[in-house]
Amino acid sequence: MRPATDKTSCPTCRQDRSCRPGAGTTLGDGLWRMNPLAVQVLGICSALAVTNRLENAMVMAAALTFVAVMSNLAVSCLRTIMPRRIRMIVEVTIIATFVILFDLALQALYWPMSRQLGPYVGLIITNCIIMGRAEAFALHHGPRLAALDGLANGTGYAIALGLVAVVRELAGTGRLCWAGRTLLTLPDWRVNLLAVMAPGAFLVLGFWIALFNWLRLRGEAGR
Amino acid sequence: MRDSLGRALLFAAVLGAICATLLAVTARWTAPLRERNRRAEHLRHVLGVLAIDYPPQADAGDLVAIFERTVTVRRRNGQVLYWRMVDGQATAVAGEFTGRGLWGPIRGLVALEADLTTIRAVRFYDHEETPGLGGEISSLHFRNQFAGKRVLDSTGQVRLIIQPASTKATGPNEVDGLTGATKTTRRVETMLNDAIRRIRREAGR
Repeated sequence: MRPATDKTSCPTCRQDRSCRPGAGTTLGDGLWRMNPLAVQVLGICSALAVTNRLENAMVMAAALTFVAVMSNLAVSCLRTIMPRRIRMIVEVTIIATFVILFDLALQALYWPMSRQLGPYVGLIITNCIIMGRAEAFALHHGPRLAALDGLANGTGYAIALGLVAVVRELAGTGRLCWAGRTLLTLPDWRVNLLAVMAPGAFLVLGFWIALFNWLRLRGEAGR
Repeated sequence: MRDSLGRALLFAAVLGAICATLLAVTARWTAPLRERNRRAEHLRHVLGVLAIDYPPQADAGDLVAIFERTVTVRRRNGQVLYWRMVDGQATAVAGEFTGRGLWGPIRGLVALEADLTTIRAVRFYDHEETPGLGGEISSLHFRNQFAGKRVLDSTGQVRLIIQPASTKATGPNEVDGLTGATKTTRRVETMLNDAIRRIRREAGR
């Protein structure tokens, strides 16, 4: 049996529900209601660093989703036998293992992208989203739901990251590229340094967060 | 006793062993692939700067074959020179250079025609310059300017000039700089001139 304190420490639970969110709730929370970037504003470091190209942002999001799913799954499976006092060290060890696995695979199979992302794949180890989901969700829920939560949060992160990257790549370079092909070209565009550099990411992300929350709150008010 | 010290140690040891094994096996298994990628990338840069054509889908094995057929590597006083040979005649020579950029080291290759006074191509393959500003040194529109430039000024000294963004390049030994990247271009200018001097010395003139 789960200890009673889990009910209060689980942020996914509403007041009126027991600590067993359905698959739909878990999915919706990660993608929309509790979107890690737009609502919880976690994982901003990587959001600033890798969003000047859409392709980079999507590979980064894939890396984060992979790590979130796998670490949530592992932490959830181990949650009943894990000694409490070394809980966090165990989580970081598990997370670091999956991050390094992804990094090695990227270096072996997709070398140019590995060069582009540089240190940021490795920095997923310290990404608050991963650790946050392990602590807040995977420790209190079964493996299937925990894996789904990782998938939902990774996808939520991917959507937010993709939106920022599309704006920055277009505003910055006047082009939108994917897998070596140019999808869209703005006529007569000069390189916009604000969008290319990190401050541009702050601005773009700020506007997306505002829009996201306006829509979200309007939706809640309407219900 | 779920929280006893012994149990925590045992758990940590087992988990550590599992994770370490997983990583060690993956690292070993991917090592040849990663090494090939690294080597292929270097060969692509050398072939590219010497203007040697290779199919874009060439894998590491193809690149090694092309490299060995078309390029002769000679080392003199620590400077590695890549000679492009055509029918036993040298037509171009390339050398690597490293220098301090704005945020970190810049590494690249410069190739000279066999006369050692004309640039064939320049490449920067490793740098940490600001994306969109100094990072533009690796862009085609910056790099392509160097092709055909003379490395000597009117007095016969090695002096390739990267003009500041406000000045238009006019002379045969001048190229345009990059807006907002004065420090990067200054440093690139210095390291290119040093590299060209070194290559000319070691290549025999």
